Amino acid sequence: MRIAESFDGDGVSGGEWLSTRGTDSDIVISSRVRLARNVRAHRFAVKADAEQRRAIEEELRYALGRVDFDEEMVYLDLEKASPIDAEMLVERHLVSRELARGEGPRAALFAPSETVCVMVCEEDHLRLQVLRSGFELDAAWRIADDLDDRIARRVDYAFSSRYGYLTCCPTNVGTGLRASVMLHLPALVYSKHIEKVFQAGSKMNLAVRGLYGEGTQALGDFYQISNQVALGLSEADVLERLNRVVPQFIDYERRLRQALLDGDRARLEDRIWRAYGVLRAARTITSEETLELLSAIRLGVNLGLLPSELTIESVNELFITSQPAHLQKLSAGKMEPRVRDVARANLLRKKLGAL
Amino acid sequence: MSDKCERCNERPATVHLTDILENHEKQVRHLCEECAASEQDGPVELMGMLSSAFTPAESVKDPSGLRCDECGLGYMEFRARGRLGCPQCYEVFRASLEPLLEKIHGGSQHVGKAPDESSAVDRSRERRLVELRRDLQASVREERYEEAARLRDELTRFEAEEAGEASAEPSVAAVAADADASDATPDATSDVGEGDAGESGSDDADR
Repeated sequence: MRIAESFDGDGVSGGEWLSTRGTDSDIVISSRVRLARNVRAHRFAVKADAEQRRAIEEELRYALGRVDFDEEMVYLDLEKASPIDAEMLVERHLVSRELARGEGPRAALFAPSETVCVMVCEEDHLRLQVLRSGFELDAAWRIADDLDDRIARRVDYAFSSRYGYLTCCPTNVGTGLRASVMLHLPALVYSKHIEKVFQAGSKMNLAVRGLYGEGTQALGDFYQISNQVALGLSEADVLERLNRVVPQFIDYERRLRQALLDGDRARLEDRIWRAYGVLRAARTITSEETLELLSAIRLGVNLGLLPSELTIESVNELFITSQPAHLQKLSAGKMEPRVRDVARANLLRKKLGAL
Repeated sequence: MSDKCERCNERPATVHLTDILENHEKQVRHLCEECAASEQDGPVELMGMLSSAFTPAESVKDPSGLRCDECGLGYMEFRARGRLGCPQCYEVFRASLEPLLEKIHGGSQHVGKAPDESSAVDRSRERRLVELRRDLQASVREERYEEAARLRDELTRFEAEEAGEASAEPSVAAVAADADASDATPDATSDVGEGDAGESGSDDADR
């Protein structure tokens, strides 16, 4: 384990999960499994004072340093890291906003491939996350389960036979598991059918959220579907439910994409080509507009409507690298939003080939 | 602590609520338990569940005076925030928690994973209990009632034993000491840093 105080993952590429290797990756961007764990002998973070929090972080840093991982892990001390570096981890979906913008001793332990990340001293002492490209929940669970076993050899978890893994918030107690998939559903949005996803989700006891998790907007037509129940269901049952429901959403999106092509191809092509045109010509552009236009381009590439040299992988990457913290890291310094919008337009023109 | 509650300006502020505002700015407010409990703008979803789960009918004894002696969390603060303070809170607030857990999850007993035999501390009994419960759930689902009855009896017996021994549970250090250093997995390619030189057994002192 290497201890770091700054994030030096190169600003250009993202994690392995941005690749399109996984199943159904035209629609499913990534599959994620998160496990909430706490140390038995300590208070949860909300009730721990500064000194106790420091003790927890130090203990966990020591214990995690002795866990046998498959890759050499980076332990990023977020108390010492710059806010831009912390925000980059949020944009790469490695850590939550709460952890990045929090205070006091806290850290992110991640593999260089960015498939695995452990948040230290978030709401729970440990939050293990595994991220995979495409619809690969079972594979993500197997890795998380194994990672959890390895950490359990070094950390005495708060666990009770009655309630399972004890967590700060009663919504997570039990398995501490949240399994989620990030879906790109532009056709459902364009056809105004997205409400049905929300309705179906709530009927199946699944949560539907925006791009960065709880309480965030569905920017760029991205939606996260995840389980809400953590107690009284086994991990296998939770995964089974998602594995049953998500393919229906995928199928629905695919059928609507075809319907858009069959119904009014000219209008769909116009929408996609205009987005492509703006992104290749703009001199200043906000991150919201970028997400919206990149979403159209992503759909265009998947439907084979745009030049073939444009790949899904490169579009996926632009979703990350055009975000504020990534732009600031690239330019090596803090930038005002107005300056950032110019830098973003420059980046997009460079990557997509200026008009 | 001498800080007074921001709202009533009388009682000591023991609850520290962090709100995330629209613009992602954080705002921390320091309140007493009473004022915090009357706050309406907490995490709405959970607050709704909390208030309906805590109807007097469900908790015969008034829980408002309950307090966890491990972390100091009071019942009213738990109600205001919807967060627990430490592992022990689950036992302290058990009577109020169970209806809440039922409401959130539709169940109040764990049937998932338990730490395996390689874990830092021996959890074999807890694991056995969870397994029994999971097998029971499966046998009911699959209508194997004879087996279900047998499992239920075994579970009841096991739980009774557990309850008897609960007080004898040892308090263990958070991080397993080097007890397992000798039987470390053979493929543990030790990425030895400066600090790890003594790992082979010279730091027995802290056991």
